[in-house]
Amino acid sequence: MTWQQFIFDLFTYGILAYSLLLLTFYISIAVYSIAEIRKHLRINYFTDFRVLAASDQLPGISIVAPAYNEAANIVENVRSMLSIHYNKLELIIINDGSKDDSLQRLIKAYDLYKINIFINEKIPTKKVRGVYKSNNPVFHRLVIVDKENGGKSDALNVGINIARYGYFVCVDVDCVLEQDALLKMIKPFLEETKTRVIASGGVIRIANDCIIENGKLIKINLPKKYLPRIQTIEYIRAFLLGRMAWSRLNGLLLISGAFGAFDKEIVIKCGGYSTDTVGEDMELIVRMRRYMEENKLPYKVNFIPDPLCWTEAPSDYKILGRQRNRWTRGTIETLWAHKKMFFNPRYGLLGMVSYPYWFFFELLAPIIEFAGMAIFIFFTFLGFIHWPTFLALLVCLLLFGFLYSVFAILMEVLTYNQYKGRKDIFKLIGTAFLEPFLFHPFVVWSAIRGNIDYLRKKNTWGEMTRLGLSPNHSQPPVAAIIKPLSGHGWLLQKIIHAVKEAAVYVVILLSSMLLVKIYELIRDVGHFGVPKNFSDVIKFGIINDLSFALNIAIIPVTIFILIFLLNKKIARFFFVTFSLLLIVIHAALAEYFLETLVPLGADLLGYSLADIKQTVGAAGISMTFILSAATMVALIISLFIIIPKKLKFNVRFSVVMISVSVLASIFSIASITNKWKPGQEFSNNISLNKSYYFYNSCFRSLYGRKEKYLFVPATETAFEYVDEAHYPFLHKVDSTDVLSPFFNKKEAKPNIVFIVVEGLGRAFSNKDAYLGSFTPYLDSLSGKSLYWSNFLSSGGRTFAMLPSIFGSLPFSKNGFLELGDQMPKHLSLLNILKENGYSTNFFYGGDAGFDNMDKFLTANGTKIYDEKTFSANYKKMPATSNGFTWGYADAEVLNRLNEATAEMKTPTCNVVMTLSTHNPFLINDQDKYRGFFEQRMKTLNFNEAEKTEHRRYTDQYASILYADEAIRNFMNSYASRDDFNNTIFIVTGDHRMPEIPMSTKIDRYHVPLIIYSPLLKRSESFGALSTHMDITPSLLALLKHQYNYKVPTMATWLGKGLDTARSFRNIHSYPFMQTKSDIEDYVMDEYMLHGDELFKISDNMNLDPVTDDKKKAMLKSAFAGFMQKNSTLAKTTSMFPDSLLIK
Amino acid sequence: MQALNLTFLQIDTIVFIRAIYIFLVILSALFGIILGFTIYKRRIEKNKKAWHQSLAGIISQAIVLTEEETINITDEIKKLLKKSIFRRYVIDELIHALKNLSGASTLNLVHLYEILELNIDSFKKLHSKRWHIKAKGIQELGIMNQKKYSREIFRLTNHPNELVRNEAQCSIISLYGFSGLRFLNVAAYPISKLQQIELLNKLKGLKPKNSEGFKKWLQSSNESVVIFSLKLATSVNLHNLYDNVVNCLQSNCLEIKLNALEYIKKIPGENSAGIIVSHYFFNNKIFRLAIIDALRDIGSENEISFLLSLLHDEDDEIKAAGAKSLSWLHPLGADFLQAHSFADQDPWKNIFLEIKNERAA
Repeated sequence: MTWQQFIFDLFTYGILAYSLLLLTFYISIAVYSIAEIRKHLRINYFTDFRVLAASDQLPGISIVAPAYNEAANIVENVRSMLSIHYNKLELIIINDGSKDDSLQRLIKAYDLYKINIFINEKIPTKKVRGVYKSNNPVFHRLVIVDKENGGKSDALNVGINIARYGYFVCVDVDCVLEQDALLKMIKPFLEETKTRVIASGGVIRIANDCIIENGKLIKINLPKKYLPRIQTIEYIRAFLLGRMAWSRLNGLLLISGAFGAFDKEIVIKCGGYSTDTVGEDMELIVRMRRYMEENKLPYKVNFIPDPLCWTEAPSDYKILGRQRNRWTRGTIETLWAHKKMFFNPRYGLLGMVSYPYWFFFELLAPIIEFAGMAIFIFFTFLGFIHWPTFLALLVCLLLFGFLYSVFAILMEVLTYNQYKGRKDIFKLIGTAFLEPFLFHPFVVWSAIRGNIDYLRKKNTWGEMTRLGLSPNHSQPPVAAIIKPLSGHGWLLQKIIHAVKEAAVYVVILLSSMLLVKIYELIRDVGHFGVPKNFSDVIKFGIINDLSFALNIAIIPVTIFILIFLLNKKIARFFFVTFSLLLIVIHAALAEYFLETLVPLGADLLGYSLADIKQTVGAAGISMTFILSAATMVALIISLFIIIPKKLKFNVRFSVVMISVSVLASIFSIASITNKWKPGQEFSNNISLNKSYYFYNSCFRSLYGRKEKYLFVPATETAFEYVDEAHYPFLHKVDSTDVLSPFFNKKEAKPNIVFIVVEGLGRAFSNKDAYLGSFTPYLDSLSGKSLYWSNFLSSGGRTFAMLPSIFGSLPFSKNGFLELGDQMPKHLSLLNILKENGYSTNFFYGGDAGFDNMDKFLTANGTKIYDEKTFSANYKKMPATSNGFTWGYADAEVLNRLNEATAEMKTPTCNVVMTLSTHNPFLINDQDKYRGFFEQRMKTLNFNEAEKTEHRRYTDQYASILYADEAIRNFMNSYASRDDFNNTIFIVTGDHRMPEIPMSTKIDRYHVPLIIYSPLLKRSESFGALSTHMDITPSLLALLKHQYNYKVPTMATWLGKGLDTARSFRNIHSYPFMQTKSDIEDYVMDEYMLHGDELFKISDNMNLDPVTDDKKKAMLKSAFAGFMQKNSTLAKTTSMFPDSLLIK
Repeated sequence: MQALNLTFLQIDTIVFIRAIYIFLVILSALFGIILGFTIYKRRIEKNKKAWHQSLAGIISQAIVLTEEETINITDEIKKLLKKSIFRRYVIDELIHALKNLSGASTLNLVHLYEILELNIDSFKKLHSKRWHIKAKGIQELGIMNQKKYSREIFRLTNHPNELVRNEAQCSIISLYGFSGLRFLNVAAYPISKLQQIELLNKLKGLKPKNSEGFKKWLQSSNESVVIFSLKLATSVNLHNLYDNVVNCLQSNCLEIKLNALEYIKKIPGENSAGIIVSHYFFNNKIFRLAIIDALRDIGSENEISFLLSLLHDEDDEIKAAGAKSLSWLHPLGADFLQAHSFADQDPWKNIFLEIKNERAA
């Protein structure tokens, strides 16, 4: 399992497990609450509250109601509370330094006078300015306390200090209590005989749109507005299901601050309400419970489901957001303050269940949900989501949520049934259905804001504007009518603001991309001249860049808008940074193309850091690039600073702009436009958006969906496989020997010399090379050799050379060499020759560790002569400006071969891999070869235009001429050796040099193959198509027939052998791997498949696009067959059974 | 690098389809229940309205019935009485009517209850295994004065289920008044404060024949029995328990001591104040405050010196309580406090001002 897989699984399975656990808890809570409510109802049936009301044995209760700026309703609210049925009652209203005229209104309404009172400050509080009582004996229960503002907790603490009785009930002053609320509330305290009830909570119900007269609830109505209505369901769910279940477990952690009864003695012992939190209600309960647990005192926190307290719910998003924000902060503060209890068995159920539940499912739930949403969006853009599963899960979750709400409604109907009308019930059900879309996301968002505010140490309560419940307020003033709209608009306004800014930023991003495109085109044209179909190049280039920018803009835009809601500056900084990074990477990719003429793809991921350093070092980073990049960064930063100040879009345009970006992303417009090409390969590459190509390639390489390859039944051209289930590539060897007819037989085993020339392409080598031949020696050599003019390498880079030529091996995922130490045991020309008594040697001027070549060679028993084995007499190639050199020049490497093998007695197979024709094309005596280049152009009768065009690549051509001469010198030198007449020389290119523009896709693989030997009976030229994969099978067939070598009867060769037909044809079907990440090309018959494009190969190896679905399907099917086998390679340790080994 | 296998969530679609199907079935069931329940409830309410019409006549007839008259049960009622739901309704209506009536009318309603053989229904409930039905049966038999079932009911006064136990205790008292309190002799479970209120309410207006039972209960090992007995003794003014109650001041249970103090406050003896003061230093703050408060009612000038010492107690609450009682016992009243040298200092200043205020009111 890869680490990405691990993280992905951790996330996805984690979320799944979390969700399932949460749902299980919900179900348990629902089931558990049924029993508790049923029990409560049954017991309550036997309680005659009239008896209680009349009893003088009831304990006294002090109602403590803090009030802050409640002038509008306070007189009526006090009147409502005074009318409560309870014998021993005092009502303490604490005016917490209100800025309005609350106190004056109370004084007037209740004929109050200031009394002298001694307050025993058992809990420290802010200063009490005065205590008032009424002159009217009717209001003898009323005590009004005027104090300095200190917050709700401080006001409650003052109330507790003043309270006469042993129990107190804290109430929000704007709540409407049922007349028998206190009788019902005190009951749990009186019922318990074994344990002490330290607190009791009651259900809070939503009073919006209910009819309230003189502080009494006259008629219960379902709220008309959506928000209060959904809160009605939420409260039913929370109180009737959640808290009842927790009460049964005696695990309740929260009693609403709006209505709760407390044992005053315990509260005082615990220090009263905490003034350091905005969640004082929860914190007090947790602290009281903690106190009881720590002192090992049996206790209970009770909850009664009767609807006793009615309050006004926020009816606009702004107020609701503040409330939920505060609740979240309160929860965090409380849990943090009592973190000691977390999974602490000392606290029993409290520490082991209640606290962890609150932590995981109350505190973390919104965070996990929000993170899940963000990652879901991210995954969506990356294409990770399996939509059928996602939709099914989504439907299940939504249904569960809906089900839970409907169940709560059912419980309400079966128990207290406050909303009598059937219409109301179905209205509630309809409201519940909309909850996940209209309400829940906002609640989650508010909780997230609460978390952020907590981190920012924001500890304000947030103003809770209320419209009022009394009939006087049934027609709200204009301001109140506007409020919900403005509240609703608060979020909307902020989003609109964010969208408007985002639209401007998107335009800047698009402009920046265009600037880079212009810069890229100028540099391309400056470097390589005007490409073919230039107008199309410009057109498609611009379209591609714009579409890419639009496509990717959704990421910064989404994140920008989200951050913008929290902090504008951070949002802007993010967008600018993201854009800069995007553009700089884009410019670097363009620069890479400029150097290599190939767009950089996921092959980058296939190289080790050392390989990358080596390659980048070889190319060097030009001063032009550094200066250009710096200028560009400065320019783009300026654009981002200046333009937003000058450019302001209207809402409509901004929305359209962002919508276009969203649509572009949804429909992946970049993937569509990047298929539009000017035609010629080089022009195609110039117009290609390099960033899109790179990211797309990397993404497909890293996270591409695992293909399910179709099984392809054997065709007449396929091998006779022997055990495909275990060894998918193992087949009987076709013993056809096509080379023997061309060779004379000698007794002594022949030596074999492979010269693999870096970048040697047919485009500039030998007769009919479309760029003209710059290999005069090889041209002449091929005239004396067996020469394949339409020969193909198997890879677009060097990584594929060794496995293809010497093992006819498949690629695995990133090239056979990339398997490294996990390379399966395999057959190769090298190890078979070794078995037949050969000494096999590899000569390389650089570090053989590059591309894991050394691992492959070592596994094949080949001795490596790389740069480390060269003595001081050998001369390295010139270094680049930053001191980098690949190693020793070709001539030196070939000399090294002569030196190392001249005295060898055993037959040898020597492999030379050259380097001089590699970027940066720096060779010794470079000027001399530049001169040769000029001379060669003259010889080739180039006109001036052709010369000018070719001179753009002078160093490349000069290096080719150098390599050609080095081979000439080597051959001349070798001719003097005794073994010359018994040596077979095989010369080919590892791939076609990409630094000279290519004309077609197949050009990248088009290389010559020359087999020269004094043993040859005759020379011959072949027009049939063969590849590197065919060399080993044919050579082994020759050696077996001519010299009776031990050659396995079964092998894993991909190649069937060289085709010696003189005219162009293709009897093979082979895959090709352009880079370490792409196996996108497949050749079969006279067709080439590249991705989804089908081309016909002409006899001069040109490609013509064709539309032939049947043929395409055939190629795709054959390609899929290969890929299916290829995908198994990484898991195998051996490609053949041990029994096959030559004894 | 290997491609990520992102297919983990590609659970067989059929699993989800089944899950969705199950959700939909449950959802439909919930809808059905909600709809069915609302329809059922409406129908029951409608039926009850109709039954009320029919039953109201019979109940009215029964209330004013003389010994010579008999209750005329209509055929419609007879037919309806075959339905258990109607029989339950009739019982509830009779109980409701009975609670609002007194005198001979109640006997007529009991008679009607017996004529309709509803006592059999209640007795059946008494034997139900479901505690709330059992409790309902007990309640009905108790309210309907069905003494013939008292043995069964008495046995339930010690039932493990609290509600059954409570209803049985209430019913026994309903049937036998103070004599019914014999269950206190054997009460194994604590009697909750709520139940004590219920029992006290049932015994309101009744007088015990003697106080022998009380003496025994005040020594009960069940603390709630002692507390209840103290409350009851206080409420019915049982004078001859004074010594037994004073002994209760030595209990370890605060609740017992507080209730004993209440009794002493209400029915003081010769040296009650001295006795309670003697307990002052051996008790906690709550009891101390209760003693200081009680002195206001039963104290004399003898306790002034004790109360004066409290003005210098460390605890401000004790200071305040002491000062309050002092203001009641001292011949100079609240003015005495003002004469003190520290009267202008905190916290005495505020304490004294508050007392002055209170006394003035």
